[in-house]
Amino acid sequence: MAYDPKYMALAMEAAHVAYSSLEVPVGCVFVRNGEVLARGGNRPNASLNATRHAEFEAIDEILSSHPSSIFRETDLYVTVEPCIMCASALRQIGIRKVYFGCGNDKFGGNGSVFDVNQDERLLTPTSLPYESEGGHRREDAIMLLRKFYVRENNHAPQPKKKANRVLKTEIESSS
Amino acid sequence: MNVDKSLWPFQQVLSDEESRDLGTQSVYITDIDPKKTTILLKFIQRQWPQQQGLEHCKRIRKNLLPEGRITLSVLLCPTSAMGEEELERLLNEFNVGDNAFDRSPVQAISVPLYAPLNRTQFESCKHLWPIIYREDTRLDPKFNESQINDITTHMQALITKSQNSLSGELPVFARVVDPSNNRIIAEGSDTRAADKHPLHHAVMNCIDNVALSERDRRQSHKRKLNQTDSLSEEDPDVSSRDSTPNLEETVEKVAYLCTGFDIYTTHEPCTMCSMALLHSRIGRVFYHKPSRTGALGTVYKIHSHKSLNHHFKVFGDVLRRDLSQAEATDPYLQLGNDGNEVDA
Repeated sequence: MAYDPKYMALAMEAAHVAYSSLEVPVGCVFVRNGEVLARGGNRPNASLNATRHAEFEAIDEILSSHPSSIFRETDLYVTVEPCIMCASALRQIGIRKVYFGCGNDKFGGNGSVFDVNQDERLLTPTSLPYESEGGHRREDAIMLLRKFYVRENNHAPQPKKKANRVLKTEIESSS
Repeated sequence: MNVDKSLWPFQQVLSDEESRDLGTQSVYITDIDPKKTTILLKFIQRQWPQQQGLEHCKRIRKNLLPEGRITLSVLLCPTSAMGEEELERLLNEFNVGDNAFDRSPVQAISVPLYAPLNRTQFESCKHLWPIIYREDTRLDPKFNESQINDITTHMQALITKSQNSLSGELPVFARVVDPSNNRIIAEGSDTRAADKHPLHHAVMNCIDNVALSERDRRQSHKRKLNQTDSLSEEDPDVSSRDSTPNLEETVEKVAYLCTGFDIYTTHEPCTMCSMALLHSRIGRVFYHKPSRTGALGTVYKIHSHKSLNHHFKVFGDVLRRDLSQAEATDPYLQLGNDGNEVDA
């Protein structure tokens, strides 16, 4: 299915929900031929589990009522490039296509650090490559992440004073 | 007493930089009389004030000739910097008056391309040219006999579980241990079939169980604190570390849930599981068998990748000393009941 902006808008909403819960603001939706199967937002802090990324939250919800074969006709919309862990998970559930917002220089598994989604060495009958397309609402995704990181984290053992931090608004074009 | 590395029942999975062939690069040298060294070094200093990529090579090699005479070979520059004729011309222009000295024609030789990071790499390249190498073993992993015994016991327990597993699941098992007191924090096995969930690998389940036990610990702790409050008594069981189980603490510590912990697995973890261990800030990983799609040594080295923000030590082939011939030629276990290959 071709990219549809209304699903990325839903993913952005899920990212804002994560932001309000003091989670790194990443959100996603899984869409099967026009039907939203599930939304997910980051939940590592609430779950005490650093692996509870938005994609995992939504995948678990879908698998609670569908067989995993459903992913063969399902696309993912996610505000930030899937990390290496999620990129591998998406192969192993057999996702059809991934649309993401901004790249993830530190952890990205769909091209930034590794090409997990296309790496031929990872091919098994249950881990097939998938197409991935970034840059959709990239600026919005970046701004939300920046807002998150300039916010003072009073929960840190020794909160850093971030009063002098300025929210940068100019965004370089992607390379 | 630390156990010598050659006796470990496992091998460290080194980073690419630590395990690679150092390669070679071509450089020019010339032989001179030792008394004239200062003059030639002056030339080098003037010509190439800073040379990139040769920092690990000593500038001078001493040659003891059969008749007892000594000459010095001096490293000039990489052959990529200029042609041999141009270098000869520059040397000849410089070599006049006070700067006059005898030398051999320049000659191209090979020196290591990269600096050695450990003794194995150093030994493999030192015949080429004198190399600057200062061995620093402070950061090398060390194990005493009792630690080796603990590692052996944990891995043997998982191997036994794997051999006895009849559940219709993949025979992959994992266990997280706090090495400071050898306490088992959590275990996990593969439940892909029973859960009808392709991501319920042993390592993911094990990490879930670590988080679960931590959530329980904090819950029971809160209850304890509440009781303590109502009775207004000091609870001697409440350690100082646990005395403020508030949300504030929760939020910041979550990313470091496995800090300082070890994980044992029967199989080299796949990309998803390896990255999950990185996100959880695992301390060390011990695995029994490599996997064809493994990400801690086989396809990727997630534990030592330069751009990733947490590095950890990985040890493979744990308790695989007596590899049978068949296993040695096909080191990867075929997982999957239908003979299909799957990720561990």
